[in-house]
Amino acid sequence: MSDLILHFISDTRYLFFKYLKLTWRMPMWTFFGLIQPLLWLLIFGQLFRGFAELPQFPTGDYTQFLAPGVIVMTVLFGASWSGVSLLRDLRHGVMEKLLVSPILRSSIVLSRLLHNAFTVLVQVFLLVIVSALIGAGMPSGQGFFWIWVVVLLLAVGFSAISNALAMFLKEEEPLVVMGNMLTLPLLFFSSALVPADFMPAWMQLISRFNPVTYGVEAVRACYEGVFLQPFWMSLGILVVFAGVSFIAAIMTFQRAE
Amino acid sequence: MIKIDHLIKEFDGGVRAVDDISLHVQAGEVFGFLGPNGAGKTTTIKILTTLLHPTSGTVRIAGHDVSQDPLAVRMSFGYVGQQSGVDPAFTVSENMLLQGRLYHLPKKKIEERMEALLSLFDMSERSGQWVGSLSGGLKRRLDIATALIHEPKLLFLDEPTIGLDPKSRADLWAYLRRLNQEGMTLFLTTHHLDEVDQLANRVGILDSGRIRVIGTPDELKDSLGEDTIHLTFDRAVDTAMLEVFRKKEWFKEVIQEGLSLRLYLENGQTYLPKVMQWLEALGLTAKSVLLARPTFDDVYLKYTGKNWLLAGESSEDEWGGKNNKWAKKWKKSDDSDTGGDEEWKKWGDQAQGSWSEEKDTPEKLESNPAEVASEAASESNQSDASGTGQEEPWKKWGDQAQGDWSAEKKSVEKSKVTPSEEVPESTQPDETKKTVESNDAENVPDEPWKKWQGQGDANWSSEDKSSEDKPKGESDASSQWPSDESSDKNWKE
Repeated sequence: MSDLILHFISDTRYLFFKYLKLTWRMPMWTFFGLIQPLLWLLIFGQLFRGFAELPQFPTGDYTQFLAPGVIVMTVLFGASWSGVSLLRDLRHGVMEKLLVSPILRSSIVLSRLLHNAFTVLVQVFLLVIVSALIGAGMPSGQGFFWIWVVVLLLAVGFSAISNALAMFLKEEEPLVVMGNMLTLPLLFFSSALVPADFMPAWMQLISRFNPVTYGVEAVRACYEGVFLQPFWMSLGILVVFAGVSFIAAIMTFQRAE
Repeated sequence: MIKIDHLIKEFDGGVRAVDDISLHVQAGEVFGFLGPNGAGKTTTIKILTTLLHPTSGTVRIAGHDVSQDPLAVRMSFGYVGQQSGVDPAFTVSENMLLQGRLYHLPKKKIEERMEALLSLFDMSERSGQWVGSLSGGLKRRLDIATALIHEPKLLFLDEPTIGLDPKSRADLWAYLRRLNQEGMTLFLTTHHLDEVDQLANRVGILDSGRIRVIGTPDELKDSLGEDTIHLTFDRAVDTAMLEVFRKKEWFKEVIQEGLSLRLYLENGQTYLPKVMQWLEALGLTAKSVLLARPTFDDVYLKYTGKNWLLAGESSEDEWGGKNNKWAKKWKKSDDSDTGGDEEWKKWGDQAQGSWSEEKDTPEKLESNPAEVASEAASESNQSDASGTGQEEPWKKWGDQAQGDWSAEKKSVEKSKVTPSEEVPESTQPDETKKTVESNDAENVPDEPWKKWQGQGDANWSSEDKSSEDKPKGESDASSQWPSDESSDKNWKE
């Protein structure tokens, strides 16, 4: 049994590094993934600058408000590509070869999710620096650490969903369409772009069931350096979200036919 | 090595892809699973390799039960799937290392094995090369080499020569034979009749999820007699007449197929003139007559009652249920061989057309070379479907003719010995060649066979041209090279 656990750990680690090597060989994609969030930050931030002058707006500057939202958005976009790379492996028969080898399905899934989370962590690191340069402010060291934790949980959760969808749909086109269809509403039905108080009641209600909301709230708390009960609650919800998605992904792998 | 007992696999929606298969494969055997797309070959192999769970029945691989101890089963075999299975973004040696790690081998062991395997497959000098830049044939070789990294005693190959050109196919067969000589048990699926003929010690013919017959290739073919005479008539022979044929002591087997009759007998050369006289005595005029060796096509026809090329028509989709998407996708892109029923149907229709209306055949032959060219061109532009998938039936024969000289030699010789007894017809691999071979004979007037031709005469007059246009082995092969290159491009991405 302990053999199995050792294998689980070493297999996961080994596959993780394999995927990392693949990303390392095509590093441009990691940077391309940053372009869209940066555009949002710059253009959307400018476009809605006047927003922050409204009474009841929580922060003095809209860019400052938007930065956590854009960070979460990067996670969403990055994670939704995870499934596409799974389809690449399936198409090349690489996945089939993995599945007939004596490796646990959970090892395969976990290494994929961790790899995706790692790429997103790098992206978020760069994004935090860039947004600090354009006036979003810099989180404290402790804040930065917790941002990464939040991002890790979100990335694991959403890339698990993306992988599960890929395993289910088995084709790239519908997966990309599904990804696009899901990511934008998830953003709009959260407090990423506007404060929750500004939303109509029904949208507020929906946003309470949206993991993105908790991600954004948690990242905002990190920026403000306020680690009180709402932060820990958000974090708890994200842990549950990541765990449930992970298990769901393993299940789709196990019954994959 | 492999023990399958009453294996059944039902997909969602009650489709039975595998219907009560029992089969034992001994160590050291090469077992070939033969059947059209959708016969259940891939489903079976996926159950054997623990990729699918059986609905019922037991499967033991090297002593381990696939359902109870999948991890032990996975250690005991190597698997070469329909897709390449090697990662194009890594080098040859990286792929081998990765595969070794997946089987938890120590690094030193992996390096030893890698060296041995690469030299076995003549790829030592390529260890630093990107897999994406390898040709289809090399990629397949590497695929097999990686599958053997953990020294399994059993190797599963699911349509291993899919999408390979004739040369690479022949090479691959040589490597597989060598592996078998070293004691490896091989279990392969294919829908190429010549492939099992070349490789397998034993063959199981699978159709609609059931095993129709198991035997050695020679047993199966000998069960039909040494030779076969194909007769085509203007009208289908009625049942009463069929009985007359069946009762005739010369024939071991008589199979009717549309307008044609296939007569299986010993020593066909001696009997052919007698048969012709006998036909005349019966008042029948055959439009075309052909003497050939029975092929697996005949074997398949005998055991399934279906023509090989038409066989896909009634079969179910291998992937079953909602996974049909796979089939659809592959039809569009990579391996059209794995495509679903529809394509078979299409070829089937065409094949049927050419068989049931014999008159069309010469014209069809005539127009084919142009199609070869345009098809090759379009293939190289669009996709790498170079397997039988998108080939027209005749192209496959050309292909077969190339890869299978030894098997065919006999019948070609035969046609040389008795050219006057031959009237070419285009339903068989052999025939296409013979059309070319016996061309000279045709220009000689007053050959006795002319009178057998009956009304078919007018149609066959276009024959000369067609046999000139019809590419021989080489041009058929050359039409497939571009598709191979394009497959490289595709993989490279």
